[in-house]
Amino acid sequence: MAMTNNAHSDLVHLFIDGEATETERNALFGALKDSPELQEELSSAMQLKQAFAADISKLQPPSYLESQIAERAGLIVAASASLATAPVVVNSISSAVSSMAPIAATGISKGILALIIGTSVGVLSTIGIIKLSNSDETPIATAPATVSQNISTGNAQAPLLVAVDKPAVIKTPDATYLMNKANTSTPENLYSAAKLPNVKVSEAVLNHVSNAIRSKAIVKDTKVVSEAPKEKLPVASENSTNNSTVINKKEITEVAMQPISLVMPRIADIKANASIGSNRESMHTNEMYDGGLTGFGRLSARVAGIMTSKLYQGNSNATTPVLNNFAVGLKFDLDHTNALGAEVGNETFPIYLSNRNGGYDNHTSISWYGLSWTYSAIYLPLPFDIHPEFRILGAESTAGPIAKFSAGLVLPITPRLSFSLDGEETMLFIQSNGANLTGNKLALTGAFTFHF
Amino acid sequence: MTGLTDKELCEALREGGESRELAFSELYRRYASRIYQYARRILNQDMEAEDILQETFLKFLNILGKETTVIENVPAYLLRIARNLSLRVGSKKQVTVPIEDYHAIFNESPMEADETSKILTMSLDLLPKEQREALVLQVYGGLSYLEIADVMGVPMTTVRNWIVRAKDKMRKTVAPYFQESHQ
Repeated sequence: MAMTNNAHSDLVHLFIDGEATETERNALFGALKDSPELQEELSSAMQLKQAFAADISKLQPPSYLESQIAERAGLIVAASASLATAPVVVNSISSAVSSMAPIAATGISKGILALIIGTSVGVLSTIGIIKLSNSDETPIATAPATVSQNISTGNAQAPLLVAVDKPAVIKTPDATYLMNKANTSTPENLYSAAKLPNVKVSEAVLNHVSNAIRSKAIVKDTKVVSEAPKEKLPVASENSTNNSTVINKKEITEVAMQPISLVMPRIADIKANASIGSNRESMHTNEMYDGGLTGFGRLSARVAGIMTSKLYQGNSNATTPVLNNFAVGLKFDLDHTNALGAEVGNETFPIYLSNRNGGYDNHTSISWYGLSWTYSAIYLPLPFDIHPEFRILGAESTAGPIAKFSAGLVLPITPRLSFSLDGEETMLFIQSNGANLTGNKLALTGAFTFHF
Repeated sequence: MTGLTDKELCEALREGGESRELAFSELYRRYASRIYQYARRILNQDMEAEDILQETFLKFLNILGKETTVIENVPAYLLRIARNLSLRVGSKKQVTVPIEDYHAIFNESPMEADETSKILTMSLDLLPKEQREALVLQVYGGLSYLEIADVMGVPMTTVRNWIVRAKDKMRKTVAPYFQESHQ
């Protein structure tokens, strides 16, 4: 059966792609002999293939991504990969760190987070400190020889941020990300650097970086970086205060660093959410993840009580406020999906306990404090970046031990703020006249979580 | 590690130990470029392509750690993940080709090295979505028609038609520029 011209044209592409059958190849070769047009098509199709090949050769992923992924996946220790790519390997200057930011340096690096919201906000808003000096100044911190040498000789490659403490403790994706981004001095890199936990940067640098990036209106989330202007950071001001940056007559060309304490932006977010309270679990821990959520921990507060059904021991006629469940939690992300948290709360749970008089004491509400584990199923994304989440909590309450189990959906609102709606089962274990009783309560809870 | 098959590398990743890093490194060496190139041409954004590459490998490693299922075709599996991630990203933005840019490109001459990529990108954007995706999976992802059919969940004959149609359109679109550059 004779093939049409279109069919022969199709065979040209199938042949070039190596997808033509023996029969099709023979048909094509036969047609090519007598068809200059088809020969021309074959020629231009080959040119197209060569153009694709040329294009492919130009599209190569950045070299730092491999170590970044490996670190995020826990295949390598962050510091080893990061520092391997960093031009200057800097050792610890823990003593300097301690003097610069005692709260953050000790608290954050050990994963111990302040439980008081006000304190947390205070730490988050702290603007910090990077010790650098120019050739005319003595480094305040006791920097290792390599760094000192670079600084004292005015080497333009001297790092802006100095590694502190034990590099091996860096396990966060963001840390790697920055470490790998640290070879240039673009504002976006410094902006990212500034966001690292345990890292402090000077106010002058922060202001410059923030302004540079904001002027382009590209700070869409903590990811920042991508399209920021490629400009050099200016010489920092001569002004120096205690524990603040001193960067004189020197262009910042590199960022090699390591945490000291929390950082920068989103202070407005923090305040806004602190005023709400905050909820609990949710989201992912890393900016690269669904919804662009970021951070190393979660400050969460929950207000709940909608549709509470009382399945507990006690007077069924007892009234229950519409909002009857308040809780605040602080969680530390173990990895992308798991978080351990400390939570406190107060909620209506009008149980009745028998008393010595043969009557009942009325417990209309209980207060509790305990530890929770939260699993965020970020790999099960739903529309609008919603993902499921599960939580287990064990706590001691004013009425006895309690356990909570909740499951729900988390909606990222901003990279740092999420809202979750959960079904929550609360179990209260009590003894009444020697008998072990269990009170149960089902509730629909709503919560806001701030990720820092 | 270079002598190991994909399946053996996956096993090494599952088993843990010091060989995990090496196994990952080898898998990354083999397939990272393809994933990045696919994402880069689908999304037309460097940073988004980097994100996709990262997320693809992280998700792949996560799956390897949790499931015992044998992954027969690692590159196709990786590109399936990359495709799903890219679709989610792509659905949030409208890909359009400003008509002024189209004319601007096509009024330029002769072709320079970088223009090849510009013209290809522009031409790809002009293709219907399915044709474009199938073509990018084939050219930049390095998948066969059968693998693309599996990744996209459509019959192979459909993939074959999409790619042939797409390539024919692109050939006709860019042919004048190749001719001009040869003159």
